[in-house]
Amino acid sequence: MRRKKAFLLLLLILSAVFPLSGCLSPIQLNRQAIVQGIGIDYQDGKYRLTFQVFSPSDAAGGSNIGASADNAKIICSEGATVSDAVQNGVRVQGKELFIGQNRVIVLGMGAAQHDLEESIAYFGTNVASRQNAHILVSATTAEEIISMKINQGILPAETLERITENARMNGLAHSVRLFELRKTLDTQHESAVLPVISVKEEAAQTASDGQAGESGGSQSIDQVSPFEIDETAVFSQNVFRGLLDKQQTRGMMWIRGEVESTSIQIQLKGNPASLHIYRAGSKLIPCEGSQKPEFNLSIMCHATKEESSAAYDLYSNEEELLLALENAAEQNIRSECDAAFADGAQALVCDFLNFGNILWQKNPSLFYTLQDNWDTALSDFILNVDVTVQIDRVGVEYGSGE
Amino acid sequence: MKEGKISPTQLVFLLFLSRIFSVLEQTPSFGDSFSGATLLLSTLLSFVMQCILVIPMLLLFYRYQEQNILGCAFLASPILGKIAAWFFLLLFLLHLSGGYAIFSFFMTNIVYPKSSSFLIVLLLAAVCTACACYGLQGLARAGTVIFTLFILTTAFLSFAAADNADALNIHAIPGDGFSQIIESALNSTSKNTEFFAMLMLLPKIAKPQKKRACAFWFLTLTFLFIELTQFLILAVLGDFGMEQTFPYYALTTVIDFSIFQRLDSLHVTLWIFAAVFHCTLYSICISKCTAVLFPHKISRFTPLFSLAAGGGLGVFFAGNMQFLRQIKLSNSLFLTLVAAVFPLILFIILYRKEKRHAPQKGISAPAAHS
Repeated sequence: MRRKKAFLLLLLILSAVFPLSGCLSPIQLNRQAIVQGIGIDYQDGKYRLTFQVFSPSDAAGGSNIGASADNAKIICSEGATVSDAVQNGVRVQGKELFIGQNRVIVLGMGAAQHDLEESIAYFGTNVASRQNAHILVSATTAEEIISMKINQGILPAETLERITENARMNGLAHSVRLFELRKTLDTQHESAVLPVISVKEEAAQTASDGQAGESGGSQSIDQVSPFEIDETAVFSQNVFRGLLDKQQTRGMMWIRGEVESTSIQIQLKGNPASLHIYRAGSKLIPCEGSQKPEFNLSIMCHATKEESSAAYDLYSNEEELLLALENAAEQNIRSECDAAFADGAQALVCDFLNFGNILWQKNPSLFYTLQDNWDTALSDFILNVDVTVQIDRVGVEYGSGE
Repeated sequence: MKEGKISPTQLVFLLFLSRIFSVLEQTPSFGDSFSGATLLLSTLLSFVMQCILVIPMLLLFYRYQEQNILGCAFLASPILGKIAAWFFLLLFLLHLSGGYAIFSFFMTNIVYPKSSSFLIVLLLAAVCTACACYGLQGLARAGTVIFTLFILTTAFLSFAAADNADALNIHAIPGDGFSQIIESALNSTSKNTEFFAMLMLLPKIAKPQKKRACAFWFLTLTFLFIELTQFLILAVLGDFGMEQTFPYYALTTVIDFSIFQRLDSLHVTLWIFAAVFHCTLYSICISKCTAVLFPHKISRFTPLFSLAAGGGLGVFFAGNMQFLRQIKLSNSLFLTLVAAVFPLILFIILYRKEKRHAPQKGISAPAAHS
């Protein structure tokens, strides 16, 4: 009897293997198009999607996955809505689109200006969609960026992701992930900012010349990446408000405390010099007791001397030079912050500098008073900037070398 | 250890794992609509409320060491005992089927959008019934292993989420904050339906003098876990996180660590374990009730009954989630009445009865009650 029971139990346990085989309604890998990058454009009242899918090229009967190989294919589709376009994408190539591995979403300027929230809604709510994919805005069309060949890495989308990450780590551009954008769009007072990616002019030129020159003549070495991120697009309440230039972008990053390390180019009595900020921290604190919303921003940077040879002759000793470098760097950072505040936030009437979130936390009553007309209230804001740059590392050379 | 008994630590782990189910399924569509510092403070207040609510239960069980709530009710009056057993049977059955339905709601919304909820409920019900057949001790042994894994996974998720966390996302308490904190605390307290399981299982621990410690550690561990997860959700996703169908799941989808692009598979694993423990514990509680109501000849079919009735109701609720929301299985007033007022009344009745019959000692409930 015991044995019989044990046998029945074993049978029951083994039978569990059949229903628990992993996934319900599985789709085999060879029937899936693994999407690595998505481009969203809006043209003539229709959404045009460009999917960059992982598709290793066949070489001598086997798969050849390598940096030199063509590992990506492009799928384009159109539809009245984004979900319609995704559906149509399945129709044109016969595979199920799998967006769980997607690395980057590029929005064409047209789609971003048409309706930012609508453009990303599908990918925000889709269960399979990767919520920490990077979001970029293309200066022209998303299709141009997603279809561009990159001679580095396994997949172009992977390189795009790295460019975005590196730009952030070097204090050159703000990086945004899908969930962060959705979170920002969900609030009334906060403005969304997205890095703008564009194709370098010379790269576009080379691409067009390359085809003509393939038949003969000398060939130059391919550029690693044809892209650059230099501007930032600002949106408030789902409406495109304008662009921030390089100076304003970094100013925004200083104020938001997002600069980890960066290089600062300065002029010392007309001579170029540079510093590398290896550690930075900033604090934005609302002033108490003032009638108008007033904030104190204090930035503390630790830097190392980079290029300064042209300025050596102007100073009698290294200490004087370092002091001048520190002062110039402080001035530079202060002007970047002012540019982001006055020419950016106040001119575009957008709060992308976290003023609302900070005030909500530190001075809720003032925030609730201003909440309904937050954007217009920005014009009355006062920002006091205090920057301290400390060069405590001088690199491998000390002194003017006379 | 005495037969049928489990250690206090095992009971704490079991109750914790079961309670976590309702933490992971916390969703705005079930009325959890609070956010920011309001939510964090209300969780703290809820912990205090629960510590107070547990006092009558402890008073009762310290006086009547070997009896659970049904045994005590039986001591007060056999009719009251029968009524209480029927009441708790229905209560556990409803919560069991609600658990099945919510599990299926999560699975069909997040993991397998194309699958049928019937199949998911059936699978979970079969697994939980099979686990319940092994009894409380078997489940308690498994609980220790799963609890350890659970803590390690939670620590890993918290570590990975810390990189994306920003305290600025946690908004201050609004103007009418006090009433919101109270409302949210009551809501949070009502979710702790493990109080009902405690009424049945607290006397099952091997060291009766550890009941207080057991209840305290269960409430403290739960409080710490809830506060930590809420803090992480708010710090990473802000108020937006609390608008997601499953906030904790949403958190795990946005955090990445090293080569792991998303950590939601960990959440799904935790969720399934929590669901199994929650539903198995309630199945065991159902068998405790039927053991009081029916002779052994009939009550031995309890697993089949809980599979059929719990599974059937679970399928019904899974297809009618709107109905499940409306009937609100958890309610702070109801919880207070059942988990605190009822034990207090029993304590008073038994105390007075004891005083009246001071010379006649030795009234005992049937063995099945304890």
